[in-house]
Amino acid sequence: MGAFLLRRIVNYLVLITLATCLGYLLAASSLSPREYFAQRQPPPPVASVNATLNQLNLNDKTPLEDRFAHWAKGVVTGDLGKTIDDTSVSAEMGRRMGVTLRLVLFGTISGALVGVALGFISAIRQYRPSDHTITFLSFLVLSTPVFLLAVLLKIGTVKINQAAGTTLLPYTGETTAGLAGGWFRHLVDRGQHLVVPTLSLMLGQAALFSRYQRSAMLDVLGADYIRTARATGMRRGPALVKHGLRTALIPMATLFAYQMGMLLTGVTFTEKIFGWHGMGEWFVDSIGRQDVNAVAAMVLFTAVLILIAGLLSDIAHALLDPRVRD
Amino acid sequence: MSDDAVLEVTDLHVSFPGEKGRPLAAVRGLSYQVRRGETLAIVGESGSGKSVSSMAAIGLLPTNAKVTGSVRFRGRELLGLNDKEMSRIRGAGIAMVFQDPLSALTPVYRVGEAIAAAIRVHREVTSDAAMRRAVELLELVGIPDPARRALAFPHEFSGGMRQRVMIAMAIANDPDVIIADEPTTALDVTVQAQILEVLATAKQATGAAIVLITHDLGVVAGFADRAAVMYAGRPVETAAVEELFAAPKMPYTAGLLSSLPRLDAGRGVRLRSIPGAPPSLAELGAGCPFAPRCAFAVDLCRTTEPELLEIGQGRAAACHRTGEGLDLMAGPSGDSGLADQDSDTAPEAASDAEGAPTEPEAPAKPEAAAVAEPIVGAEPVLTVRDLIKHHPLTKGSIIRRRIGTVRAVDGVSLDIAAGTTLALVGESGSGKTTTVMEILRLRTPQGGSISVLGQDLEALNQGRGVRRRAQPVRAGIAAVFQDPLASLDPRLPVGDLLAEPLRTHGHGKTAGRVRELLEMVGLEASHANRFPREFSGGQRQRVAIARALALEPRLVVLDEPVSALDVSVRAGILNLLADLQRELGLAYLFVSHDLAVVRHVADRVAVLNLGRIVEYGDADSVFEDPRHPYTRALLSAVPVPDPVVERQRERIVLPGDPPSPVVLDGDAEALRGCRFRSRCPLYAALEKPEARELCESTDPALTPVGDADRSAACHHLDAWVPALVQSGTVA
Repeated sequence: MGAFLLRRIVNYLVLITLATCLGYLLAASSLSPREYFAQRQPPPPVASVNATLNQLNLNDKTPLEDRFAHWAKGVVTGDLGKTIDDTSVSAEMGRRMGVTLRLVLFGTISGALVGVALGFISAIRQYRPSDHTITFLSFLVLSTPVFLLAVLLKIGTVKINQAAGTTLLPYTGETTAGLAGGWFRHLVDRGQHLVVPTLSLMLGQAALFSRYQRSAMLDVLGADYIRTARATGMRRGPALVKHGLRTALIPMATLFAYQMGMLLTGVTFTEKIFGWHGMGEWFVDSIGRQDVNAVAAMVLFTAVLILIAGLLSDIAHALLDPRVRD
Repeated sequence: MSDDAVLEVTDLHVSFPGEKGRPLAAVRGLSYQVRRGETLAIVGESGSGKSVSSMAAIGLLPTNAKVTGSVRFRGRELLGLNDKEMSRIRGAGIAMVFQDPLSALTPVYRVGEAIAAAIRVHREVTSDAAMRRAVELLELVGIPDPARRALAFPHEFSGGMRQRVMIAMAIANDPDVIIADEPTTALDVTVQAQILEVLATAKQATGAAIVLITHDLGVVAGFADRAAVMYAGRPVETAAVEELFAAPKMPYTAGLLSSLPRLDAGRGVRLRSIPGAPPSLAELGAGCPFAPRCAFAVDLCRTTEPELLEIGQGRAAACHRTGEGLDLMAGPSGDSGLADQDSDTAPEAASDAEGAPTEPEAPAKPEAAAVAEPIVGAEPVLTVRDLIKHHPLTKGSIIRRRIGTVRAVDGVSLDIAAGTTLALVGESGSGKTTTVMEILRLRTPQGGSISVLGQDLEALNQGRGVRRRAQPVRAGIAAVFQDPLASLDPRLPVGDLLAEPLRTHGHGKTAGRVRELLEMVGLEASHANRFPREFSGGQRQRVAIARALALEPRLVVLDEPVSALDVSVRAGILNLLADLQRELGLAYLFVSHDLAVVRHVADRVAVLNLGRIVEYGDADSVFEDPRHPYTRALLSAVPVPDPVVERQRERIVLPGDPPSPVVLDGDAEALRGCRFRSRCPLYAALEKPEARELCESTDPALTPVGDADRSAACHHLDAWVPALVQSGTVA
């Protein structure tokens, strides 16, 4: 098991390096920081633009190789360069990373769990009303774009808050500004802020997982080994969970990793709509500002996140399916 | 109704909701009882209801099945119990052993855990105690090094070992009844012999009654005390096994028995075959379901279904003509073949329902027998010399490294003369199919040489225009595979399937040839516009044969051509192949693991083990006087469908599994000496150290034996084989 994971980690490090380098090269050759400065009013003198660009390692007159070498040297020492506004990319990323991670982590995990449960119920009650209901709802969610879903959730939350007479579920920002009180008060406050945005990510995730889990479960329902388990005297429920669900979960582990990429796209909308200052929001803004280093940093972040998800799914896979361990 | 019966099934009916609201009756009135320590066989073909009835008995049918009648276990009625009550009986009182143990064990649990779980379902024991008991059980069923193997996963076990695990699970809670559903069907004959021994051990250890569900009459003869023969959901005959085999009272049973190719019969005897195919449950009419295929049917049979009537002590048969003293085994008109004579009546009777095409027997050609025997010694159509096919065995996903070699074919030499049949036999993994595929590919072999129809493949594949020059060779060699449904494109009508090879080879007008081909294999020309799924299994195989013959090949490769077919239609296909060979002068390369079938068709036989031929020669001579210990063991493992013979004969049960052809790099020991010796009963019995030393140090080459153009690869061909392992002792 240890050797298996170690091999995977080495694999992933290679992939992260590759992805980030390619991400930088793409951003550096397609974004144009010079224009960002040139469009300022009044237009600054060319010499001063060049000086700023040089200082930020963004000058398109410097050969790409040299800029890349300069950037790469920084990255190796943990310095991701400067943003176009001359602040530290690393510092900015440190501030925003936690915000996004919190959303994504809760969104994926709860989404996967709920989806698996729904899919399982749907499969063992195939063609019954509960199956039809779950199927209908999951297709409804799947065909609703994240931004529409988020807006609908916002409207729903307003109704709930009105009904409760207090701001039960705040939906703007990640914390209440100027909140006084102890750490517990802060924790609860952050938790409350987390509910609605997480829900917007979770719903799509759960809908998708429920579809996959349903068909994976249907595949194993007729399997001979469930019949064997039943023939030893195991009752239907335990046999379906211990022998059916256990086996049908294996392909879900892989899906979990690949879903991460999709979810990072979704999180951009969620952050924008709910006013969270996370990585997704920063990414979109950075492209608008022609900010090469910030975009490269975002690529690094995405790569790491997807590969962490890959590692998690490998671990889950190895735990569920002992055959892959050796 | 006897009181000591542990399981008593009375008038069991099972039906499923069918199309258009018409229920499909899968079991129609089955009754049987088994006592402790007794073995009852339920024999039938696919669709006879034999498996459904056992699933009904333990309450594991899907919920849409309607089950009526009575199933009493130790006097307690089981039908109508809820899942909770039934679960207490399943596994503890009545245990099951299923077919195909690869899919029957949950892949993610260690086999020890699986057995322990089966124990803990019924008993309040600690997991340690359950695990210890699991190891004991594994030892009982003959798993070597059980404590370590208990920690292995099902995929790390061979098919035979997995089936042992299934049996261990079944006896874990000391059941009173073990229902074994086709327990040896997917296994090699050598392993089948082992598993039957293990079942016998299990029966001894628990004193349980065994209900053995099978289609293999050979297994019934050797293992069961009584048998019930099922046909179209009904029992048609029940009897003690000796009586059943000696004097069947129902034409279906008689037909099954006489259509079996037997090891103890000679070559080329025409098999009596039952025309047609088992009926589908949807098309059962009012009369006896067997009447359309029965040579003895009278008008009454077509209108009224006979009851199963007691005709003697423990004997019953369902036939209107039981009392008439007909000689069922002889057939109505002597040996000329009931099937052939009956072919005119069969189609009309069966084709009235659903318009399903029926399977008329190939029209007998009286003159066919008169055609001169093929000239033996004529030019060879296939010559293989020292053929080698090794695959690298690699490990690792990114950096692949070679860790060994799969020596699939490791020096095989064969000859087939025009118009003759060579059979390749061996266990799974012996290299039969690889050899055949190497020949069919028509490529330069990795090692050695292949010459097809006088064309050396290495020469053929050199220079320009390989494709064009290979065309006539390709047309001269054809193949028929095991599963006709998988080898016929389901979306093409049969006419197009047959025309395809013709068009590929540039023949313009195909319609006439397609008609001719269909008639040649005993189908109607009007069937050309039907799709493969509209035919029965036997008919599909006839289509596959017709397609193989389209280009008038001289060599046909038959890879397990009857293994996927029901017993009662096998004989028809084998007879058809024999007729075609005589009429068209075809040469066959016949691959089979079924030695009884091979005995029936082969002129010459090559026995393969680990990619090598260990015995080769004239079929009669090899079967009657096998010289290589492996051949002897293989032949001895085949059950003979005759309880008297089967119970008396001594058997060589080979220990262990069919060996793997994998040789790891650097494992020089694996290649040293005779590679069969790890399982060889002769080697195990050799007393002189120098004789053993010879086996250990030198790989035996094929050496001529006797005068009958035979050879075998063994150092001690003349040694007497004392190492007959007695029944009841397993490795």
